[in-house]
Amino acid sequence: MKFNKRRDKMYIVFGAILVLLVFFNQLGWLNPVKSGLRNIFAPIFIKSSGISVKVGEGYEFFKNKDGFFIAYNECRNQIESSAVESSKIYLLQEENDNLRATLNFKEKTKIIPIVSRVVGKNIEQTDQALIIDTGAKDGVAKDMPVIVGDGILIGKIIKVENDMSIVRLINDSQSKIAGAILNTDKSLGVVEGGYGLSVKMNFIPRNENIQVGDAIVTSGLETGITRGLLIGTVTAIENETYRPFQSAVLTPGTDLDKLTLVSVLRTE
Amino acid sequence: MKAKTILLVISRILFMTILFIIQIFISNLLPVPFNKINVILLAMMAALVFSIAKDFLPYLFGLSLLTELFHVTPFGFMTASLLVSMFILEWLLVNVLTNRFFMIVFIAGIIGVFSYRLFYIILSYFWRAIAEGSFVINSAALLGFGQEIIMNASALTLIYIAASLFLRKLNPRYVINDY
Repeated sequence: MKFNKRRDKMYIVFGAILVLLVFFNQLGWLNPVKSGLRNIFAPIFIKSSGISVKVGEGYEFFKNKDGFFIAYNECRNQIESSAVESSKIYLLQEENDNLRATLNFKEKTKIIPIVSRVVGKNIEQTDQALIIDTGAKDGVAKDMPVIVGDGILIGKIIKVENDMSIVRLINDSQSKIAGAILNTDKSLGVVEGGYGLSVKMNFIPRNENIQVGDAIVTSGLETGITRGLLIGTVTAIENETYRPFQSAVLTPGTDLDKLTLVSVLRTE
Repeated sequence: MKAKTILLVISRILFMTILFIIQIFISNLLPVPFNKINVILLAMMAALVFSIAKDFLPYLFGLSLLTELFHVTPFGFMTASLLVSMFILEWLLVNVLTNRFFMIVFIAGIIGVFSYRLFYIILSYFWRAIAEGSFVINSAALLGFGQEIIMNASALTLIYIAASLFLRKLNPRYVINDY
C-alpha cells in the first residue's frame, strides 16, 4: 500500500486548521469575517433566487397556457366567494371582540412579526431550507415559526447567526409540525415533509372523517408555534385497513419555491 | 517568477469564486435532480482524478469553508466530510482504482460522493441527536442521496471524457512533444 506522506501531512494540516476555525467560530471570533463574506455574496444569492422565481413563473405559464387561464378563472371565482366570507368573518370578529371585552379577556401573548427577505436556498440541496436576512440581532431565535402573507406557515427557524437565519421548510424530510384539520372531528396529527416532494399529515386516527379540501392549521400543541397558522389543504387521503392511522397528503398554502418576503413570528 | 506566482494565485482564487457563484446558481435555479450537483465536491474529485490536487486542494478547502456560511449544518461539518471523503478517494485512486477507464472514474465518483454523504450523515446524526433530539432518514431522504450520488458521479465522468477528448488536442505542449 502506498502512502503519500507529504499529501497525508496536508490533510492533517487542513484538519487542524478546521478544528481551530470551528473553535474560533464557537467563541464568536469569526463573526466579523463571516458577516463580511456574507455581505459580499448575498447580492448574488438574491439575484439568483429572483431569477429562479421569475423563470419558474414563466415556465409555468408556457408549459400549460390553458391550465394557467383555468386556474386564473378559478382564482377569480374564489376571490368573489371569499369576499362574501370575509364580510361574514368581519361581523363575527366584531362580535367576538365585543364578547371578549365583556368578559374582560386579556391576550397573554403578543406576537411580533419580523419581516425578512429571502436571500436564497440552502447551498446544498440536501435540505429544503431557505436563508433569510434577519438573525439574532433582529430578535430571531431557533424554532420560531416563519410565515408568508397573513399567516401561511412555511417552516421553522433551525439555525441562527448574528445577521442571517436558516428556515427549514415544511416539505423537508426532517420537518415535523403539530397540525389540526378544520373538520368536524378537529383531527390532530403531525405534518411531515417528504424531501421536497410532498407534505403529509400522519397519525390521524382512522375513525375520524377527513374530506379533500379541508384546511390544515397548526394545532398550537408545539412550543413557540401559535395555533391557527394555515399549513395547507388536503388533496388526498390514505386510509389503509392494515394501518392504525390514516394520513392526508396536502398542498402547502403557498408555493414554497417562490418565496421572496417572509415573516418570523416572535412570541412575547 | 514571483509575479507569475502571484498571478497564478489570483487566477485560482478567481476560479474558485466563479465555482462558488456557479454553485449558488445551481442550487437556486436548476430543477430536481440537477440541483443536486455539488460543484465543490465535483471540483475536488476532478482534481484528484486529474492528479492536480496538490495545486488546488488549498483553494478548494477555502471554498468549502466559504460554502459553510450558507449551509444548514453547523460550521465545519461540510468541510470535515469533504476532507475525509477526499482522503479516502485519494487512497483508493493511488492503490486500487489505478486505471483511468471512464467506468473507473464513474466508480470513483460514486465512492467519493457516497463517503462524503456518509460522513456528513454520521456527523449530522450526532449533532441532531444532541441538539434537536431526533434525526430521521426516510425513503425520501435516501432517494435524494441516491440522486446526488448518480448526478455527481455522472458529471465527473462526463468532465473526464470531455477532458480526455479535447484537452490533449488543444494543449500545444502535446503537439511539440509529438513532433
